[in-house]
Amino acid sequence: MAMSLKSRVSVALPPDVNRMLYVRNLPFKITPEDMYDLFGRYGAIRQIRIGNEPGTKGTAFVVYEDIFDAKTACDHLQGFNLMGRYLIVAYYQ
Amino acid sequence: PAGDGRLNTRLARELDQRNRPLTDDELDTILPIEGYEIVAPPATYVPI
Repeated sequence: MAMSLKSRVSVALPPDVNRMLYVRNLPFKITPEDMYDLFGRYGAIRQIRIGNEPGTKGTAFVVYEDIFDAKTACDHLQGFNLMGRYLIVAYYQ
Repeated sequence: PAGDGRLNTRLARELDQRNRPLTDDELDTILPIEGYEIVAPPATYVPI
């Protein structure tokens, strides 16, 4: 974690930031291994849910253990080109 | 200044609240269940 604990505490996070990311525009053939590999780089993952029905395919929920890791992931993966598709990442409200 | 201390305490308390562990049941109340599969981490997954 780049941020030291002290600077983490004094930094107030916007209210919409939370640990649950809603990801869209994923390739349909994305595997759990791909998801853990890509999102796991930013911090410990609490849970991943991948859409498996016509209406949910290509979307997923990625929950981090730590809110700062979720923020770092969201900031870095927004618009990330994965297998030719640009990811849409947002905090789940 | 003392004020800074109180601010940090309040932010620390808020951070703890926003970072408190979430149980599986809590996640099921927050996230959709229908149409989604909870995928287990691969054997090679090592949380950093």
